Amino acid sequence: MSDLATSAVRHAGAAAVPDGWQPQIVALVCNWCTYAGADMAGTTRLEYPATVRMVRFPCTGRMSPLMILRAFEQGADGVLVSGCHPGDCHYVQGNLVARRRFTIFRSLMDFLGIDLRRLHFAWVSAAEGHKWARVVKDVSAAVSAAGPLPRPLATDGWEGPVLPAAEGEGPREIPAADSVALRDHLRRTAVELLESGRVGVVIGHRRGSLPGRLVPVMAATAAECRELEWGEGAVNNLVTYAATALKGAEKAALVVKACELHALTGLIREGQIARERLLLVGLQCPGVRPEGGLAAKCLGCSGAPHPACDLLLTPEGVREGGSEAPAAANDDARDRQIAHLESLPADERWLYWQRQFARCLRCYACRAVCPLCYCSTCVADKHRPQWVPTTIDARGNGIWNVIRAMHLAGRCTGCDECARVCPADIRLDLINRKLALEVERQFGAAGLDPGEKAALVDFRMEDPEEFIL
Amino acid sequence: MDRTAWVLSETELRAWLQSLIAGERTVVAPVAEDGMVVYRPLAAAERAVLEPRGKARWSPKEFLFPRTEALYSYSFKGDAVTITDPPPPERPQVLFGVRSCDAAGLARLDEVFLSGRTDPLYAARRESTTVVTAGCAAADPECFCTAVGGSPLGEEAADLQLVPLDDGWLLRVLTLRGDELIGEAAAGWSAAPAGSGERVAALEREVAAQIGRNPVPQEWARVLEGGFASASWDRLAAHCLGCSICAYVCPSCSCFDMNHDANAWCGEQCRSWDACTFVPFTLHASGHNPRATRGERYRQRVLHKFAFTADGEAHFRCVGCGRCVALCPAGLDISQIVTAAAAAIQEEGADAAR
Amino acid sequence: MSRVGVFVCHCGENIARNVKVQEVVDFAHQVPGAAVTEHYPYMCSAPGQQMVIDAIREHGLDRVVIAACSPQLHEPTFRAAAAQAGLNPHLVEMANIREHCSWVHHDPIAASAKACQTVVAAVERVKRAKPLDPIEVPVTKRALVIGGGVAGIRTALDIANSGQPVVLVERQPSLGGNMSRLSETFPTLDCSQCILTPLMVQVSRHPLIELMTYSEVTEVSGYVGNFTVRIKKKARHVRVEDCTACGDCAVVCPSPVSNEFDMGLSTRKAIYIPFPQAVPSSYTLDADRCLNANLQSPTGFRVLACVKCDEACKPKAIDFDMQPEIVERQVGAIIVATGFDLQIGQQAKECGYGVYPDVMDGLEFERMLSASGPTEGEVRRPSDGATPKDVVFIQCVGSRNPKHGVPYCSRICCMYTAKHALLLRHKVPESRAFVFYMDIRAGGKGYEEFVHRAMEEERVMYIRGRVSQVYEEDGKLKVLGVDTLSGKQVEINADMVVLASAMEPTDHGKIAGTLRIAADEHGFLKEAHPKLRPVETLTAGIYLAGAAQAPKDIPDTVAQASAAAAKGMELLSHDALERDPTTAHVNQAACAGCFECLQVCPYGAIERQEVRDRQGNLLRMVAWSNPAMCEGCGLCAVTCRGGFIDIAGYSDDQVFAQLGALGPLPEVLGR
Repeated sequence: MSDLATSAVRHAGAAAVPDGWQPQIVALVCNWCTYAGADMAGTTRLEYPATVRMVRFPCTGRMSPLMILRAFEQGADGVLVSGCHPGDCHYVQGNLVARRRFTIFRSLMDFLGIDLRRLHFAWVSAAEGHKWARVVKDVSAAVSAAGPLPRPLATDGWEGPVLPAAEGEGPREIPAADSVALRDHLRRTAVELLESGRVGVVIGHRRGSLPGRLVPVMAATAAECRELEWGEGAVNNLVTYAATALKGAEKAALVVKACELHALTGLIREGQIARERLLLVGLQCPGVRPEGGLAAKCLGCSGAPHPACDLLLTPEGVREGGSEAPAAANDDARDRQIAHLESLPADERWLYWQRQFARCLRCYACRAVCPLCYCSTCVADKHRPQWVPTTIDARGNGIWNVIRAMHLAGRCTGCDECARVCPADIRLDLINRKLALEVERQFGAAGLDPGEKAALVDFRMEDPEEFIL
Repeated sequence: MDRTAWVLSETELRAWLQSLIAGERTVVAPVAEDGMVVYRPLAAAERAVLEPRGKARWSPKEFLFPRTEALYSYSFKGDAVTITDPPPPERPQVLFGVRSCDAAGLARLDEVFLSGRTDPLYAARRESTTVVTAGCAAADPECFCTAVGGSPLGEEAADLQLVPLDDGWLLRVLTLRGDELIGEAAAGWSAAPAGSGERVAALEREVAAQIGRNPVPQEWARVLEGGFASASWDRLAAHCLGCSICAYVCPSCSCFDMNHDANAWCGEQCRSWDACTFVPFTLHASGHNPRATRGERYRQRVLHKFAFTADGEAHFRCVGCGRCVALCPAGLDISQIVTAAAAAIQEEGADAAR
Repeated sequence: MSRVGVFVCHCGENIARNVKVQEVVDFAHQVPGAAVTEHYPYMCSAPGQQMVIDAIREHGLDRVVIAACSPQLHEPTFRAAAAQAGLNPHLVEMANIREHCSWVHHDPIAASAKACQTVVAAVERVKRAKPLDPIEVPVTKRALVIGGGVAGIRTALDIANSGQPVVLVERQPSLGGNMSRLSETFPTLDCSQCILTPLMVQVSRHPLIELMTYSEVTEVSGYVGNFTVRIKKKARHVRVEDCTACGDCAVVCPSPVSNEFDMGLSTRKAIYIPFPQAVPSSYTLDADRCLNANLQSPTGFRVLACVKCDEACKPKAIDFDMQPEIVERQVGAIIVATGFDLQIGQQAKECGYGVYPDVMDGLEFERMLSASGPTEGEVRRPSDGATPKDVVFIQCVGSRNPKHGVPYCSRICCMYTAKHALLLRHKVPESRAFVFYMDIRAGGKGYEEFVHRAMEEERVMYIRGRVSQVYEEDGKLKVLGVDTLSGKQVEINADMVVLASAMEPTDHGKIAGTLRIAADEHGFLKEAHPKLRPVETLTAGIYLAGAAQAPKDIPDTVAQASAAAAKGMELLSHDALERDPTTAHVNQAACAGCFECLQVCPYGAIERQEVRDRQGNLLRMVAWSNPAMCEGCGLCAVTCRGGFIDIAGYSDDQVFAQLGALGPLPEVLGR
């Protein structure tokens, strides 16, 4: 770790720990088990540090990551979340759903460099007064060791870690003549689909105003279809436009890249789009170059159109698709970068992410461009209460970025649009990919079947819980 | 006013910059950070990115109009409330290496915050800010300052102007405040030779020629405003996704929202950047939204940049920096949309007349 | 601005010893909105409560905080006091400064600081509390009992006898369940059918019991007090009201079928009566085994190949065209009494079950012992009909076996094995009975004595040990086991082997899915609390009785059935129910219809609702939480990403404010 980082970390928390300082720990506890267990500790007259402030909930299922973040944002040095043992939840399964939520939240906190000595989870039953006392003692000791909560700090002059380069072959190059042929197939197909009445609108790309840039278009006339384009500049994930286009047409043709198709799974599963209203058009893709170089997500991809598309376009021609078989899985070039970040000490990760979050403008472009962000009002815009502070600073930005990531955990399928559009160059793609990997590791492969429950809405009795006291 | 100009080598420029940093002012300049260029308070002169072309990712307006600032803070004790004003700026500041378009943006912000009712927080900062622009020797593909009445070597809001030469910099003094900033540092500098003004004009023409967009005629302001009810807005803004990148990177956007950030004991009334592109921007408490559609919101943006002007203003609010064009996730180009809207509105008018 | 009354209790010395009460009072006085701050030695006492009541009235308080003991103790006390003063009881908040503070922190400075913070957090929370009224749910005064075994019969009779109507649904053609298969019951050796059939007849005759046999519950919707149940009445093809049970049809029926009532030890006909005392007393045509099953002419008409039963039937009760019928009933309470089956697991197979005909399980042996069974009560080997001399009984076949069976004890096997051995000895005096056991569990009344009787009087040989192998040799079943008390291997040449197989819930508890109640991994239906709420489920209005909940014998089954009936009667005694109003509310204007809330709700309380425009066009689907089913867990509220669901009484506003009061005290925060 560089000298600046060391000194920055040392200075975090505004210098020395005051004499006699005791940590302030907020405990979110469930009424039926842990609250009663703490009562039992009282009845038994056990003694434990006066560091914990209790907040009573019906169930751990009622405890949101936003509440944990609010506790930290209000100055708590540590947070303890505690409820009933799995299988004993008064509400049958509240703690089981919550357990998955907490698992992912904790791994996100760790990835962002939060000192995990500040965040603890426990199962304490109504009969476990002694356990409660012991948990409070252990948690207090851990939070004390971590010290007072550090303030966000400036990272000017800090070089930051060097991430390993994202590597990969990328899709095969498409020779110029083939590109023209592909584009012509697309135009012809689009005109035919529109004129035959099979669709009412074709969502594709057309030329933009800057060199090489293609922009989205919802083509409703044959003339517009004849202006459709395809190529390295076709960066936009058009799935985001599907719902809008379907407001004006019964059925829409959607030009979709293999990396974007799985966003539809989430939208179908969550009742936002009916699959039969879309005609998916997949094209041989040369890989996209948002800023000159091949996008990281393309490095592990062959560029072949996804077989589940209804029509598959290659330079050779157009053929029917609609296969049930999933596309071959790509190695993700970012996994090495994630692994590198995970190998660093938490303090360095903290600086890495704090610098980026400090830059965040709260333009919410990440939210606007994400196909899975479709709420009529975003939780960030909710004023009563204002869970996500409106202040555009490290504190407010940190909370926004955490809840954005949590809301996409188990749903994001890695189209990377959020990272592409971020004007502050925040590596949202790494955060999303990290959580996707975590969901897969902890709970099994991400369901690409719309009929399956999303990971964070589901649970198994045997879900992992080594981190829970 | 006596205007003087100097010629500085790169070394002399950096030395002067270092002396400014060591002085009583905070120096803000473009620096490289994580592969991008952003305006930051400068710790060392060599870190400033002073290139003949290229813009920082966003404008330096946040140093006059912060993203978030407390308007006042308060604390409770029983029935008593104590209200505290925010402290004045600690140090005067220099915004160094600002592009002409960004400086023009500051001039637009001055119109909003300093005329009519003066915003005391903005005024206090503006009072203690000196602006040193760095002109452009080449245009980026998205630039169109000349199309909206600006210039790559414009002088609006600039106290000093740096013009890139092949072998150094021309430093032009434009205001008294600029002169004060130079102070004694000019001893040892070479005065600019005669003909420097022509060199600047020639460079200006050269760069302007690179900008491939047609000028936006001033009378279009009336045309666009007259087309308030045009059907073209929905069509032209169909693929806007409703983020606020354009507003937040824009040198002249100045909208903000106010919120209380408080707990049981104390709090602050803060203002933070807001944008007319967001749906809740005009959402009423009743639930009614006068700009409920994408087209209406984009129209608002265009009209505010190109049409709604206070009496006496003879220029657009858009300064043509082009950042919104380069950074828009959906590739919307406001200058193209203005052209297309004006054309559509005029045609609609012609249709109606027939 | 709220006017909050803060009352700090000394609780004698319990709080005051470690918490400086005056400091807490003074601190509370500084909190914005605290209109009254008082303290008293015992807030829960009558004068203490009166202080609260008086303060509410005199000072116009609209919120109250009691800083005292745990709300688990006295929240109802202070809520009632507030109600007496005319204040909505949900506008009262308790701050726990005893169990969580003075009793566990002995440093007065730290304890007082914590108490102060706890109080201000409670004040901030209660300021955002909203008045809530209990949710009234009307109650349909009718009960549904699922299962017509002894548990269902007892429950139905108890409820009906109290004057409430009951619908009793049984999927077999007759009432009776497994108890009707038994010969004699331990420990009294009562004839099982003799004590059961009078109850069955009572059910059939009871004016308040609607009996539906040969029927199954297919769908249950609704909530406590207001369930809608769909019941499929299978086509019996015999009109019950006309059938005289004469049996002429069965005599002529050409289609033999393995007799499931006799556990496969005999055959019946396609048209049959399960046992002579069946209720209703009617024959049933097993449509799948009738020769006319699935017969169609080339043009699609149903064809009758055989009408012998119809020809023989004098009352003309047979109706080949009878169709299954789906009926709907509205009920207020549901009691599940679906009973058990015996498991045929790996261990049973290892003991030769299914391999050797002379190896059978407990229920099969019961049928053999039964006077109305396949052998008319005589003990005979299925293989050759010979009377067995040496019979080995093996206990714990499948039970208590986490690796190859089920981990639990099936509870009844020790007793019925003793009974089987005893009855064998009665019926075949020269026989010898050997019982391999691990333990003898004889905890009921008279049970231990009964087992002793088997051991002492009937000289049943009890061998403590497991059986490793059963195989056939020279016409005998060789049983290899061990006697752990002597440490020797044991080898018995048996004529017959009877296995005490594990009890498992009927259909592995599949009924739980239909009712949306919880079942454990074995399919036993889950009680609300194993000690204190053994007949309720966590779903309000649904109760449990009998072996469906856990293995048990007849006395416990009947006791539990009456307990479930009592719970049902308690529910049905109300015209309307008051439910806790801390339920979820969906902002339907904002809901995006993703229905993840519906997927996480443990109670099925979330429904899909349509939003239509004035022309009737469907605009979208949104979620709605039924306050009668919602238990207020809050899973939906957190799952909803947009924050469009909130929980009354545990609202986002309240939690947010509470968290905002729990940071370090202002001077430390440095704002």
